[in-house]
Amino acid sequence: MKGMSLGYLTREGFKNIWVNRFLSVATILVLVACLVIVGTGSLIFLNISSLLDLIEGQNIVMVYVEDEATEYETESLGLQLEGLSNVKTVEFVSREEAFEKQKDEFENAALLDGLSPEILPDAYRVTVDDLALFDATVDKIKALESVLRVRENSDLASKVETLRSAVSYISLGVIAILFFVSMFIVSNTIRITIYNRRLEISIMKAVGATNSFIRWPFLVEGMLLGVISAVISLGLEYLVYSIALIWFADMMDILGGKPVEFLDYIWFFFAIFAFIGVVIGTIGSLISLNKYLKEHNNVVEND
Amino acid sequence: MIEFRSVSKVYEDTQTKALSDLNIKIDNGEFVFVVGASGAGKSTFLKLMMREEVPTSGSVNINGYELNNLKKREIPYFRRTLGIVFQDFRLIPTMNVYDNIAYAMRVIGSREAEIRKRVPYLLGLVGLNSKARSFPNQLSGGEQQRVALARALANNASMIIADEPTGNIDPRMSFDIVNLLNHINADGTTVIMVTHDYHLVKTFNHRVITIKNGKVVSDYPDASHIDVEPYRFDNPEDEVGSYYSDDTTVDFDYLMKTYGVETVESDNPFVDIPTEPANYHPTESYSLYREEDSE
Repeated sequence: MKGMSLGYLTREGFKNIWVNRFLSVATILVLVACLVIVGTGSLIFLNISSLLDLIEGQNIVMVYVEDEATEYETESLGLQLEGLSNVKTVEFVSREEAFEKQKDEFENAALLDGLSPEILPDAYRVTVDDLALFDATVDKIKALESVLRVRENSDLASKVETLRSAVSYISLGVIAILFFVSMFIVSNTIRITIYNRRLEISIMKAVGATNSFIRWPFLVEGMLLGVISAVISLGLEYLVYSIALIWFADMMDILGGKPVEFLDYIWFFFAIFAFIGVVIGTIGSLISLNKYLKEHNNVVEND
Repeated sequence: MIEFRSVSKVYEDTQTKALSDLNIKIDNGEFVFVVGASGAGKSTFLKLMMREEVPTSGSVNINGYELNNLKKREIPYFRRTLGIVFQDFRLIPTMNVYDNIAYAMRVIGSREAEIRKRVPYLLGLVGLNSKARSFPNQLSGGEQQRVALARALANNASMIIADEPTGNIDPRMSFDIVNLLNHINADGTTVIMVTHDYHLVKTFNHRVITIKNGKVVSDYPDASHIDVEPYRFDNPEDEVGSYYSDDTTVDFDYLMKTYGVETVESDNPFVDIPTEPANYHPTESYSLYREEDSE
């Protein structure tokens, strides 16, 4: 395609939107609604995720070292722990440190005065990467040499994990449904534009325009509807989120989390919206176009 | 060049036999009238020429393209060698005359500089320089058809295919249109014109191919053998008012479409004889004239 005519056909695509402006507005509104729902879902997901990270961070496995372990054995256990997959951090807590900490936290510290740190074992504080593999990791740790016992809270880990996957499955489901709904809406809009322009299409065919030339204005129209919707959705999402934050800030506070900043994710959202918008617009218009070009091949008889 | 070799066409879905064993050869630079009553197979003939349909058997070769073997993506390039003119003009109502012609060039990727040179030339050729900024609804039928003709010529087609180009135009303008086609033909462009208009065939006296029941029934080098009764009395010198001065000049095609009058076949390709003039009253014939077409 040569640049000049591509420019002309692109302008035709822009013109289509204006010629069918009421339909375009309706389409954009539906697309915006879908994108805002997708965006809201994503924001909820992000917030829950950040909350989960917080909880996850507290999900510590304490690995106590056997009393009779030598210094060498203790150190080797530390290295083995570090070598395990799915282990994020390994921190050595000596019995002296633990004892000091206990004394600090214990209200009647005087009661401990007669005791020495010897009553406590050395320990490793281990954090885990992926909570889904928590149990397997704990089993692996238990199997290591010189481990006295392991203190963990696998119940919390599994609950957190269930919640996170539920949220992501629901979000994905909603996104998928909205994706198809939006695609249908766009393809319907393009179908009507095609109908309005069937004379042009029949002339294009008669004078020997290639199918890619015939398609281009409608593709531009579909993509443009997607991009316009993306930009509007972005603004609207910001507004909706700012209002939602006022309502939910207290709740987040109680849970000990901090809400995600929209502006931190603005490019992420723009990319997602633009991508979804353009993909939906393009596929939507291609569906209608291919159907039309296949079924209405008439040059001699115009319908 | 056009060559139909033993072409038959049967439409699968309705089992209609539209053409059977059609043999036609038209050389470059010829001017050919194709005549025949409605349903004779002219429309199928055109569809095969445009490569909208492929023959059930036989082969079609046009401008060096073997149409039976033409790949889908080659069709547009083949069609660029043809210029097509329709009975209903098919101008885009939202574009002015200039843009209507330029459109044909734009959609095949011509450069704007080329378009700015070519369109005024074409407008001059069809005598519409002063109407470049007019819209189709501001033009008479004859003028609209001239725009359509300019558009058909826009991409330097070596062949013009005109499907009843005068069907919607009054006699005077019809003469002008065919005259223009004649001039274009004189410059070397092949012209194939499907028509119902006996008088135009007689006046311009070119090769006449008659199609009937999907077969070529006659192929004369000129119109001298065409001596059947005219059903249209439309001498270009005549005024439109005299068009229906005689009962024999009634447009039966139009009557049929309007009143559903049954017809029987006639040997005259220009006439479908009505068997039952059911709702037809000669005294009302003046009002049957399609007024929107007169200018």
